[in-house]
Amino acid sequence: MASTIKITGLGAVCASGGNVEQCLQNMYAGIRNPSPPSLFEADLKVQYPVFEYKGRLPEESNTMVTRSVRLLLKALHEALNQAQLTESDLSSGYRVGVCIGTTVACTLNNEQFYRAWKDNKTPGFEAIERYLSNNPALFIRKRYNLKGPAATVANACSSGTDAIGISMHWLSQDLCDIVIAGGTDELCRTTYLGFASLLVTSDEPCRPFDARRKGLNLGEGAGVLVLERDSAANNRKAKALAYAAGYGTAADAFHCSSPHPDGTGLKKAITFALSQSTLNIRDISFINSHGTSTEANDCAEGAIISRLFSTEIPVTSTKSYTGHTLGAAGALEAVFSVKSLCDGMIPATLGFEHYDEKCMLSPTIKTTAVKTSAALSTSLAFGGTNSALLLTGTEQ
Amino acid sequence: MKAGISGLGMITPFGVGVEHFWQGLRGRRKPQYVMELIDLAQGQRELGMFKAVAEGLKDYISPALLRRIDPLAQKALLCSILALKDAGIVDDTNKNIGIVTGTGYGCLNASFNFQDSLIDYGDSAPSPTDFINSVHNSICAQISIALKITGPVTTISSFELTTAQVIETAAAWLKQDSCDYVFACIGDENHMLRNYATALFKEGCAQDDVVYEPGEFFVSFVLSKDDNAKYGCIKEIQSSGFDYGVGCTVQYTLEISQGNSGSEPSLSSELSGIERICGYSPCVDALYLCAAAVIKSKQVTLSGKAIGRQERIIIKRGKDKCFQNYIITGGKCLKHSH
Repeated sequence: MASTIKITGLGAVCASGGNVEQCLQNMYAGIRNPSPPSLFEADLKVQYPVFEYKGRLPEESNTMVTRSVRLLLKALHEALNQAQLTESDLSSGYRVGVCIGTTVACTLNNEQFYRAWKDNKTPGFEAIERYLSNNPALFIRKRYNLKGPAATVANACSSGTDAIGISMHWLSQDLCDIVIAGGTDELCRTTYLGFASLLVTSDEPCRPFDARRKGLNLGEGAGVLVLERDSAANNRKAKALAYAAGYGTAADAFHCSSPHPDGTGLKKAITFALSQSTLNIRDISFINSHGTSTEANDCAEGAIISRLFSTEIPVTSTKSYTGHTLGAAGALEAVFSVKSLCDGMIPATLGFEHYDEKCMLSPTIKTTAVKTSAALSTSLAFGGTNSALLLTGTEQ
Repeated sequence: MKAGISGLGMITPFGVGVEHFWQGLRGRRKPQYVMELIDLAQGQRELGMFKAVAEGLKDYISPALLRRIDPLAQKALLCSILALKDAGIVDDTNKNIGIVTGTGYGCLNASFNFQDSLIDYGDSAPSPTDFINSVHNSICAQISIALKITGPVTTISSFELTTAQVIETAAAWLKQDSCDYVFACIGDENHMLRNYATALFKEGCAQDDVVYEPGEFFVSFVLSKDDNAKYGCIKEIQSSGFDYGVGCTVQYTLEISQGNSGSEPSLSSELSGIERICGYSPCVDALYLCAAAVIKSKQVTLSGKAIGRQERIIIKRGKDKCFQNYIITGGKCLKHSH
């Protein structure tokens, strides 16, 4: 469906760096920086490490703008610069849509406000206003006066991938010329304690696919891709970095918080994404896996990757550098996959040392040269959602 | 864009099912409505909320399953079962079905139950079940698990643009043959904090004169590629603008093709005021679409319009004038609901 959808701009911000180049250079060098959370306090016996972005975010005169939106704006500015899109292009030159995945930014979980209200106090409207005015897609639509469709995707951990997939539909069905697609999520105390309650967080840096894994680390960040119809990109003489070639999503119908152990939904999603493209499975040169470092995820993903692909296919988990950024994860991993297609290499999966027979998968243990033909990025989510995104390089 | 509405399932303040909603629109059934006194810094204020009661859940869903799932997901599941039944595809397990859920505020009760468990029992002992149920897409997940749906699934949460984007996404999946049918499941639930927030908004921030009371509902549309679908085809959705506190403009065009003469409408009128009889939700367009869809009169062309916080559907039609009986007048319904 999507061979004519060009990717003309990329932006990323996460614990690995404040832009795409910095993130990948740190990953290729094997550098990661997990730490105890500094954005909030938690009264737990263990301070589970997280991946925070510790650099500067865009200054906003309006103090109501949330961290999730400021992360998004930072990634967006980088992507728009690379795509050479001006504010005037966005508001008047083209039909521009915006589709952003998130989990935290669409949830009313202001603990301070809730505690005050529960305590029979009368907290003011600011917390509500902050929530209502920071829906990521609607914020961007208003900020740039966009005329195309706008949607915030709240599909848990696959939200970022699904936002890109929905954007591809918009473009292929001519609903708009350009889409700002991506995902964003800030670290949040509620989410941190929620994952702790599920007993899936690790007290040490995560080890995707490793037999001695202890769970995931949460992270924060934002990833943005500028997607364009061929006609719009040609009209602007915009250079394609890569192409969005196929997308599929499917439900496991199995469990609310665990994937189907056989990875049935993921297989269906990958198969559908391939059917939407001109690719076959042998064209895929590497996989940026979901790779959360939980046993349930790693084994379900490993089951399908080992069944569908040759044992030689390079598989990485960039969550070993970013942590699990939830609604941003799929978008960040799509950005990293495009950059890897451009660079011809993928990073090592940090923490992987011991092969797990239950996973049947050996991810990269060093920065690895890859062909630049096509990449697969996979996402699995709470609720049993599985999503797959196919990206192709420009030299294919 | 084209998506036929082949089936409908609804839980509204008028009760469970399309027929109760229809009776409510015509002033023949009272909505569930509760008045509350709310303590604000400025003093006590009176504000009501419209409640959607999911009666008859046990007729369709096993008690064991009901115990495990969140009340909003229960409503969504019941609506989806009713919509499947309405569409006549109850026993057809070979159909590839997708689900797009839409919610303005998400699972408020599960979210605040999780916060309660944190506050009451401390950081080390919150409820994992409430955390799982608090995620927006848990609604979609419960439908998928209970009905064994393994097609594409997603969830959208874009306040007043939610309904439009749910239907656009469903239509895109149908167009590219991702599935044979799509559940477009849309709704919001009440929580006392929502009432408090509405009272605060009314007190100090509202930019227009009308602030509607909160309402809860859930609707499942079964959408298909059927041009002659039972409730017509959504032909087009246009939206523009969005500003917090003001909303946006969304226009839906619903076409009923049965015997459409193609002649110019000779009469037009407005269907408005659903917020007054069902309460307000950012997804209220879905109820307007339902209202248009269940007007079963023949030979009509309907177009709906939602503008800011004064959403309305403009109904244009030709020969048959009896539809005037179905016009909802704000004053009448306000009186009726109180």
